[in-house]
Amino acid sequence: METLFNKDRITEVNPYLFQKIQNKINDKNVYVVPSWSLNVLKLSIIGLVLLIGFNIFSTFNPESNQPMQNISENNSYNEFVKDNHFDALSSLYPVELLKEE
Amino acid sequence: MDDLLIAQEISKGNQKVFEDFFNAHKLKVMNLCYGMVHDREVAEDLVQDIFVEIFSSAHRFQGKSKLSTWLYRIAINKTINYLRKEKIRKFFVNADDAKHSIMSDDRADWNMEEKEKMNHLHKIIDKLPSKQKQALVLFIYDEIPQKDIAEIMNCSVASVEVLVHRAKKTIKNKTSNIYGNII
Repeated sequence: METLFNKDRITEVNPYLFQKIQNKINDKNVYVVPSWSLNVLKLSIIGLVLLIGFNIFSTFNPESNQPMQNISENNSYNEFVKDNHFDALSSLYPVELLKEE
Repeated sequence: MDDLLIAQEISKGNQKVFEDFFNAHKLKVMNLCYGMVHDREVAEDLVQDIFVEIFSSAHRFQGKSKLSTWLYRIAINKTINYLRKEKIRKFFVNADDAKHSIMSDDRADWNMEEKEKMNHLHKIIDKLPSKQKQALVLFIYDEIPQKDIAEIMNCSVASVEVLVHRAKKTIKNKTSNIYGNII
């Protein structure tokens, strides 16, 4: 076995191997990405995932799905009607829209 | 030059120190990779990746171990990662037999019997448990003393002795049936 392994052992390497390594290092340096930008990217992804999770949770959480208060029962609405603001606004609408068909 | 100083110089981009370091270890790293993958071209690619990794992460070397130990650890990890990927690739493409036949053809100085024996040995080595394979390759292909292998593999010298002994025993058992005792 020793004889076979001795023969199988590599005794010389490609003379251009170091040059190839240098080229790889140079190529790598061209596309180098600063480490802080990767951290920013990671944090952004975590933030996005948390937001999506919160959004899904809110959508399916029965406590957060309170029925909207009827707008006509709102004090602000009543005051708005009382001050005739609807009439004032109606003058801004195109006449065609206000006419009944 | 001190190992820590060498690592610092490499991280600063000192080409001369890096080239000297490469020349001092290229054959050992090449043999380690070749002993694990049994393919010269793949071993060369791995050596390139290993030294690129050394260059780009030399600033992380803290001098807790020898620089050569650190280099061998990186080399082993890179090679094992390659073998894992290759195993997955082979799962989809059955290229195992083709690879061995190509490998035996590029050895002009080997006769048919030697090629056959060596291919068989490679297959046996590939089937060894990972730790046994690492210890055997470091011991036989790289001729690294067992004390240093223990440091590289982060285990005791006694463990390395056992791993090498078991690996040799497995090879002996599996080859003696076919070729007689070639060990």
